[in-house]
Amino acid sequence: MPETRAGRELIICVLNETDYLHDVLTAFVEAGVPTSTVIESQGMGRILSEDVPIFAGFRHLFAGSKPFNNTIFAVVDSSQTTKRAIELVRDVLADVESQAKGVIFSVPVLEFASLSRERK
Amino acid sequence: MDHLSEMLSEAKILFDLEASDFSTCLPDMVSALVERGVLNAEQGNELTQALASREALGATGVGRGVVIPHAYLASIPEALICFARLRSPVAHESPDGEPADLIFLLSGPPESQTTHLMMLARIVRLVHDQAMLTSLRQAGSAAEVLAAIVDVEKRHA
Repeated sequence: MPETRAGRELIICVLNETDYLHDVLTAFVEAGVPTSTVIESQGMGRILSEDVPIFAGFRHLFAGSKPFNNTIFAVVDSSQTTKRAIELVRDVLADVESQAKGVIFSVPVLEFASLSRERK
Repeated sequence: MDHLSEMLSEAKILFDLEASDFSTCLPDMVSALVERGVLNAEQGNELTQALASREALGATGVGRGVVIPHAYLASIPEALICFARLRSPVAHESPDGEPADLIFLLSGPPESQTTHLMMLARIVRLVHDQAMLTSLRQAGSAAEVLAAIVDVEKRHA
């Protein structure tokens, strides 16, 4: 049955510094994030400036974007977990020299359901 | 961001520009703008060179006969948009291979490039409107060109 539980949030992290993916996921674990899904993704700036000729002259405006990045999705039970995850992710990336390391934000989850068979 | 129609004026709209091939289009367009006082001679020279550099980076044709050449210079203090309709289409590299006859020229100061990028993206979106392109090709005056652009911006707000 789908659950409606107040306070559940979806954390989305777009990580440009993909070398630090393991550090970010470790930070998630420390923050109490139970699990997450990681996908390989591409930034809009990279796609437009490399693949659409009319935008080629604006490559320098997208200078911070790497060829590929990782997008991490995690559902957590509380905003406290979100806040802690954000603190720890920012901490692991604090010394990384980069123009655009990525972003992390959360949105409310309205309904949630596990796709696993329920145990009787 | 200002509307495209608000940034154009009759002095910045060129009709039936003669061009034998695309390589002469942009210099001729800039020369006409200098003659009309939209640019001074120094700005015109710099802009012509900057536009050529940008074209060398990659063609600015976006399809449907539309070209959007653009270059940004410190010597041009405000965002500038000009429009030219060629008397006859000329061959120019584009995604659909269509020859070019409608030119939207963009320029302005480098520090406004983010705004220019948004305006470039707006023009790319608006030229998907075939009714607007037809109106531009049939327009008999600068006022009709402006009316076509006002109309498309209302329909695609």
